[in-house]
Amino acid sequence: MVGKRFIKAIEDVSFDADENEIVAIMGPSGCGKTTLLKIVAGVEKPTKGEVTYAGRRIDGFRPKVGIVFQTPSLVPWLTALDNIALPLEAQGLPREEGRETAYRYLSLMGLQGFEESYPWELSRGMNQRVALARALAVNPELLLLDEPFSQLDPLTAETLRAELLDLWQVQFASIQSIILVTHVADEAVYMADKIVVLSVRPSRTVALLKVDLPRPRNRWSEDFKRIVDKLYEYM
Amino acid sequence: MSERRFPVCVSPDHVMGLVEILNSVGGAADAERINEITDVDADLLPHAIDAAEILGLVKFNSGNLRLTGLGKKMAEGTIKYVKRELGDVIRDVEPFRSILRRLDVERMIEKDELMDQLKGYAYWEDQEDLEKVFSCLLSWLLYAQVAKYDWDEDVLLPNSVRTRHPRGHKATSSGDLA
Repeated sequence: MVGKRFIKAIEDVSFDADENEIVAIMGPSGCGKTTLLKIVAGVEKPTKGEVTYAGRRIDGFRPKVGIVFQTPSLVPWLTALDNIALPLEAQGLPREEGRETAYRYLSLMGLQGFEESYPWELSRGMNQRVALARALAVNPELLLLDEPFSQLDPLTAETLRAELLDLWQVQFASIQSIILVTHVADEAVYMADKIVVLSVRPSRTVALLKVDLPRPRNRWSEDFKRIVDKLYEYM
Repeated sequence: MSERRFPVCVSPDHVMGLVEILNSVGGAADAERINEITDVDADLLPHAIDAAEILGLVKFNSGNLRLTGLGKKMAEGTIKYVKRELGDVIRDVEPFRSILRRLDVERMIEKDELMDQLKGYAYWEDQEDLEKVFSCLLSWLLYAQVAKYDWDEDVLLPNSVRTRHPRGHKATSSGDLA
């Protein structure tokens, strides 16, 4: 809804995110990718259709979700450690326990030494690490990533992609699936097991591609290039 | 280890990003091709290559980049491994070497003293530039966990020193997950 005008963002989109699967959602700007992510997170309600998690509808029930946005949206007056601890304390964890858990996730994201730094003292990449640590610290079943690397320079983005995949491959923590919104074909093929391609608004599913390539993926392999080319065709 | 000037303001993430990209194309590539894949800022890539080469992670020859054995291990290692290896290699690279040796002896270096030391090392035009260089230097030292910084006192400390719970918090050191 925009003002009093009703805008249909999503028309007909359907996909499954299976256990141990990274699903990338690609589509042109304004096609409703972020709206879709919000619906999956349970923070926005679809006017039609349904989202189910492990066979249960997401409306009253919500899976544990961690979300990372394009910009880290950290609280500027809190240190890295306190930013990570914030949702834990909001969940009712005692302060010291929250900070101890936060410290473990801070280390996991390579932020030891920066725990007492404020967001303005950290680079964009480091701030996005804090945002990732904050999302992981709540022990999510579902990790939702809304173009999390798009505001970073390409080299920093690559480092964070690789680190996230490393964590994913050792089947870290509670995460069952990751849903990644991206507009970069290379990123989708590099990271995802399945790619959902959406049309312009109101979006429909244009294609659903399986990416069966072994990890770590070789960007120069013919199969990798073939899938990237296919994505460009659909886009 | 080479005595070429290390570009301090290339971050560990830039260097590791280059290493990861090279690894994802099989460990060797033309620098121009890397530029095409990443669309990285033309100002950044040569410095990132320089930094990675000085650290011994890549070899750059006639426009061709190749991962070294260490570079490959770091591309495939955990964050913890990467930090530990970076901590080892930067000890042999200026300006980290001089700063860390000085820190070993003096056990504490004030920010102003560090800035003075950096004046002779990095290019700077004004105080703002120098602050930026300082913050880049700090990001390497802290990321590689070879030093600590007391934000209240503005002093650099050896990593072995437990800080005085800076910024009013109790320091924690329990259970790494990495």
